[in-house]
Amino acid sequence: MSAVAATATELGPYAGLGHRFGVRCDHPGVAAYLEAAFATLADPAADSPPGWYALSGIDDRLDLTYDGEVLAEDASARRAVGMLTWHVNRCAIDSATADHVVVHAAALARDGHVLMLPAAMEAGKTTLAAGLIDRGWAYLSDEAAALTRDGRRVRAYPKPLSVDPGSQHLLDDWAPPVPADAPSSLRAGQWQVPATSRAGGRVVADGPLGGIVLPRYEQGAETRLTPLARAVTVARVATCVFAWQGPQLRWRFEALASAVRRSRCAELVVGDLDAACATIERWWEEGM
Amino acid sequence: MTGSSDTIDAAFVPQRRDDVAVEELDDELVVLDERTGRLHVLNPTATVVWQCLDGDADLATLAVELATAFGAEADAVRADLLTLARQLADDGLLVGFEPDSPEPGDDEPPDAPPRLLTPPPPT
Repeated sequence: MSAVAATATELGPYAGLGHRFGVRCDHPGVAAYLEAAFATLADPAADSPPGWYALSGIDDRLDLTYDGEVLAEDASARRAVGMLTWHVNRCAIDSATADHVVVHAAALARDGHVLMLPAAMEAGKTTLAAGLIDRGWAYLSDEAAALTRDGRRVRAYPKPLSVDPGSQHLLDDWAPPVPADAPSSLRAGQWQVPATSRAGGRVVADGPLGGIVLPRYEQGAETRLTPLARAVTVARVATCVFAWQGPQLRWRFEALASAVRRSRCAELVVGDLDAACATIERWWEEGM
Repeated sequence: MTGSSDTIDAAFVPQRRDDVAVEELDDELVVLDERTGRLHVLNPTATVVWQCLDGDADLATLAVELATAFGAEADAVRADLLTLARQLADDGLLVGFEPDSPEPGDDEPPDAPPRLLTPPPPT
């Protein structure tokens, strides 16, 4: 494994929930790609971060470590960046579970309140978040919404939106620019796109929870939103809560119930992205 | 001692477990069994029944009381009570009963890590 060269670019400091980190990268093209992708996690007021990722290599072969722990060796840039973003996600979520209810959810804000979109993998959270950002909603996350212990507020984890290949045809103008000197493998696979790269795209740090919509993508289905009883919503959202086990379970349950109690709740079958966004907006405006 | 819900009949005296966490939302209850992490949603009718399951009265007596209170047919109420009591017993929410084990692949064991994060990219 090669060491990061002395000429490495230092990126950061960054903060994802409680995970504070920097990135050292000696590949100029990959460094430029990451600097753009992680823009919304930048924490310029912070001191030197406690943890450092190191990316080192040439052409399209890179090693990735975190504080000396090897995360990927001799990997393509696409895989190394994918592993880096996965590790950042995992650490960010782990950093918040002690004092938040961390829900696997996208979160956006409008009118001073937060809409949470809890769902399992592949349910279309990122795609919906992207569609709503393009309609002027502020961004909190496409992956994790951290509810405070009193259930009143949602804290943002504004990672770059991770657009899977299966959704890219719906968001073709979201393709991030790849620096000319970046490895070719970064032009394929999952896109990492900061919300602020979009016209009017903006991030909010937190906000009071106003609504919960559980989305589910169904190919070819008619898009429809159905109000959901709050008790059922608690049970459904709980399946999306990280660390739903152990001695911390009771306060997480109480915080989740408190959050749901003050929210409007619905489930959404998504057959068409534009229709889904319009449906959410109508429902949101009815409740304001 | 753990019982089988098959043994529950009108003479059964049900007692809700008091070591579960309960939240009421819009006349419905969500009951958390902290041993398993499972949540159980009780509709408004089941919520009323749950609050009556204090270990003092058998199902036949409860059926008469609830039928009187709600102006319903006692036999129908007794049948519904039996069904609900057996379900609550199967869910491990009554004293003396353990929850049914999930079918393989039907649920996560209580100590399984959440499978929520996208797995790391393949090699």
